[in-house]
Amino acid sequence: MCYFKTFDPTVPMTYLLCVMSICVFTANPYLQLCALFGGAVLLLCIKKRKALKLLLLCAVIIAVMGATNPIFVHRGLTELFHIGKDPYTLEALLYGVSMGCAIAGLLIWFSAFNAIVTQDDILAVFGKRMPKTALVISMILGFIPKLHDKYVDLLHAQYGTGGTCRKSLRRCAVLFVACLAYEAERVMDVSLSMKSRGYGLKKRTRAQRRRFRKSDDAAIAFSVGLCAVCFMLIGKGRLDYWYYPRLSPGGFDALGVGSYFLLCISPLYFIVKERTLWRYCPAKN
Amino acid sequence: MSSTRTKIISLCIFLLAFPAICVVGVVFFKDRSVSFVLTGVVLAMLAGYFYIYEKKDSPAWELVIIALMSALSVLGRIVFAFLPSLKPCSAIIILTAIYFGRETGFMVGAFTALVSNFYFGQGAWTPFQMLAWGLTGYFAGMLGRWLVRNRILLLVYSAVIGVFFSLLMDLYSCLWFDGKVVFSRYLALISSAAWVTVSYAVSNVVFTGLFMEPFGRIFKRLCVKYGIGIYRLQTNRSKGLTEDDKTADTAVR
Repeated sequence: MCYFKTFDPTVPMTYLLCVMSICVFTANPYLQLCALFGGAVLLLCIKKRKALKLLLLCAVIIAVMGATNPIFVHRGLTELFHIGKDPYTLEALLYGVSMGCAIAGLLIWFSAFNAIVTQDDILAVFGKRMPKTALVISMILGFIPKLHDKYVDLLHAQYGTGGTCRKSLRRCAVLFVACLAYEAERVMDVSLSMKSRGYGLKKRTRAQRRRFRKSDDAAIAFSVGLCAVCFMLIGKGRLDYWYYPRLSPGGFDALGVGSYFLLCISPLYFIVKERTLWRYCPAKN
Repeated sequence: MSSTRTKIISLCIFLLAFPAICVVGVVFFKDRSVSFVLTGVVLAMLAGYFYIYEKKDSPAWELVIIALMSALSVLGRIVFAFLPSLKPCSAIIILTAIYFGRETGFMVGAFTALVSNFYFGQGAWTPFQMLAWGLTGYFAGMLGRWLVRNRILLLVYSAVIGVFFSLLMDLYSCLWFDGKVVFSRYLALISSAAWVTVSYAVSNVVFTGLFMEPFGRIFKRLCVKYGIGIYRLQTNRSKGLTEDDKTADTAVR
């Protein structure tokens, strides 16, 4: 996802955190619709047709949650029909739909998160604040391919001696343990060499290639500002919405819903801009 | 000196963060306050653990062992993918924890969850998975003294912890939905997740049983050779060293 690569990795992470902190925990259907719409459009732009499967899954989740909630919860005044002795109420149905929307929003936005934020970004963000954690994560990411190569080598060696190609739990476990036995000794030697080169005597230093620019500040201020507006309005109670015993009449605040909608669709600006430039600004000669 | 400061700061984080999360949840998200508070508490606990870990002076071998074992359990998820829903992660975490201590176990669990989700997709479940696997390792490390001697106890522990965490997750999602425990929903969740719970417990037992002996041999050898983990004290006292060394050596050969 190259549209956000011009920014510091903190920017997309802050943005996604701002969006998700509201869309997952709010009960307000207008905010949820904003989040679902923005997330779905963003995902369709990034992943094209691959996103359809996830969107379909989300629709199924919303339908199932909505249909099953009144079976467990019998609050609400508008009775649709009875199952046995218990009433099946409209309010519980809608509450279930709203829960389903929260989960669907979570899935959609985390899918966007996986597409936008890569391992390198996470390491770049946490490397400064948490050097030890970042070191361990990069070590793990380095060990996995090495261990896998070792495993494949051992597997081929076993085939070479005339073993069958059929996989069984026992055979894989033997190879797996052999992998550990090989790597454990080697890795302990790594730790000894780390120690002899003075690991832990001084603070780790690190260099970052990219500086924090003004556009990064502006983007972070934009997303945090809109998020703060929503939180203030939620705190004041102007975006409150309740389902029981009857659906609440209000809950639609133009400023709050508008700012959250703007927050949710703001990534589209970069995508549209990039595509327009690509389409209508050909090279001079 | 620095360790006391770290402890005080982390205690402050815990004491301030939990009430703050509760207040924010109740003020901002009235209907959904419970789900916000639960998520916030899990995140705060993880942050606390990672803060303590970050500030602690840990030797190089600990980092390297954590990285190796996490990488191995991520690899295990890939290697044993041909067996449906059998995963060796918990078994590896438990065995690491009982030989190298509870903090190493916690970090191995947390990093396994974090890094394997780089491959299988991050989600809202990442923090919960991190905490659940981390605590699996932490408790195993606390009981390590008994678990390392008694194999049957180890198998029972690995089965129980699998079932326990599945039930806890169901309780959690029940609280997340309704803000209180609705018993019929809890039952429905448990019964719909029964297959996962059973396969989780079975895979824990199977892999712990398979790996218990060879991993024990390898870890024992590492402990004796480099003077780390639970056999460190024995080496320092040089009491029973020759015997241990011999058994470890012959076992690996």
